[in-house]
Amino acid sequence: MHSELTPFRICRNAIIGLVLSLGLLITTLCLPFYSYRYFTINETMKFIDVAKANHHIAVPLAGAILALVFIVAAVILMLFVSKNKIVQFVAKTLTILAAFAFIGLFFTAAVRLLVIPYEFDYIASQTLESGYLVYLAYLLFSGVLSCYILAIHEK
Amino acid sequence: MKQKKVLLTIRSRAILSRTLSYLGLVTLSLIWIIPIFWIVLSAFRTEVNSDGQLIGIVVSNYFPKKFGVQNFINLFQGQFYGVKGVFPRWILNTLIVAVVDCLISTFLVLSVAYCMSKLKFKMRKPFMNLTMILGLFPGFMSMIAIYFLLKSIGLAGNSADNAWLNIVGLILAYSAGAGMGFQVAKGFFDVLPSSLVESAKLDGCSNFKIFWKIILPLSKPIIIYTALMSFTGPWMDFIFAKVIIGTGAPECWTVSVGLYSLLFGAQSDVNFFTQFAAGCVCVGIPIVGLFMFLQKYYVEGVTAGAVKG
Repeated sequence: MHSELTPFRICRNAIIGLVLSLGLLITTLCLPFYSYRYFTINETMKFIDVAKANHHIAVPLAGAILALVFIVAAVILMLFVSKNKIVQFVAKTLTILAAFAFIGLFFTAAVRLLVIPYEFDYIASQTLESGYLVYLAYLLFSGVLSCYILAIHEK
Repeated sequence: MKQKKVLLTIRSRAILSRTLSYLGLVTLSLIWIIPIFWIVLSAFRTEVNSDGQLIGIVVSNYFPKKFGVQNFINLFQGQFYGVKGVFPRWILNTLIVAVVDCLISTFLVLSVAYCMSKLKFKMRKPFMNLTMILGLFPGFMSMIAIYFLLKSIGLAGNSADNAWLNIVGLILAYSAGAGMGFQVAKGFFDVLPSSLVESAKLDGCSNFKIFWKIILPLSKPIIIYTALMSFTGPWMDFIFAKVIIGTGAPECWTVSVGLYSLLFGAQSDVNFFTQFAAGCVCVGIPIVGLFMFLQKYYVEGVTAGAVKG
């Protein structure tokens, strides 16, 4: 019975989750993120523009991408070198770091929702676009996915 | 086929339960770790404000734009309260208080624990109950009384000339009542066989010799646990230190009183915040090191008296 639980079978859901996570990240990057009114007359910025202009977003974005790389690496290690104890330890450490990063960034991004309407109050009113919400969804989904991968590490 | 489905369901449930547990644990750890991480980041933050001073607490970004060790250099070489390089002096004072208290308290705690565990005498039980009840009250309830007692014998509230006496008073305040925290050590000594004590007595050993030559060599984990607790208490304490030595000269302050005065004292400045954070990191390093190296003994010391049988 247990012989049927190959690494690929164990990680099937994780792989699907990773594809979804990557999709969410690409969607976030393509969608409009903020919109400035009055001062710049309805200029809408995409994630890349915001990240270039605002390090409050650029550093977390870099962290979120790095965390995604970590869980991809952890799943690859689990698929191909699942027997080695040291590799298991490395994969688990990478996943824990990714879980911390994603959930931490999710909280930070969620708390920023309270700040954003007032952030540039003196020059322009700022509104959220769909990109920010997908970004939040990406962080939360990836956080839960990291915890799931951490859970399937435990045989 | 049906059995396979049941197994898969059990496995899925286990994974779901573990996922939710990890999610909760990661969230809780983040809530705990974010302020500590912020302090560490602030210690290495070297951005400057429009006046050219280190930026301090007035920042809008969690992650620093510029990293460096300028805060540590300023802290160790800078002038606070008119005294140049006073921070190393604060560290030294704290170290003296912590080490002396560690030695006295460890000896007192272990001695009391040995007496309570291995010697049978009148009023032993009522005394243990009394200490248990007294231990339920927080220590700082007696703060004002201790201050006036120490002041009446000239060991607190001294001004610049005799400020070092305040340090003696502080050591006394920390170590005098330490013997009452004997419960954990007593639990450990209870597990040691009484036959060792009895046979030593038959051979003519005195109580002190039994304690020193037989019991202590067998009690390494609890000695380390007690010493660790006695050291970390004064090293991190602020309340007693502020009351007893807060009025003296800045050279005789402990590190917690000194760091507090950077932010809330007479010459405080919000721009000192990054230096305050650097001081916090300096204070944290010895404790982290001690716990990392002595973790094994610490756990053994706490758990040794827990199981009896």
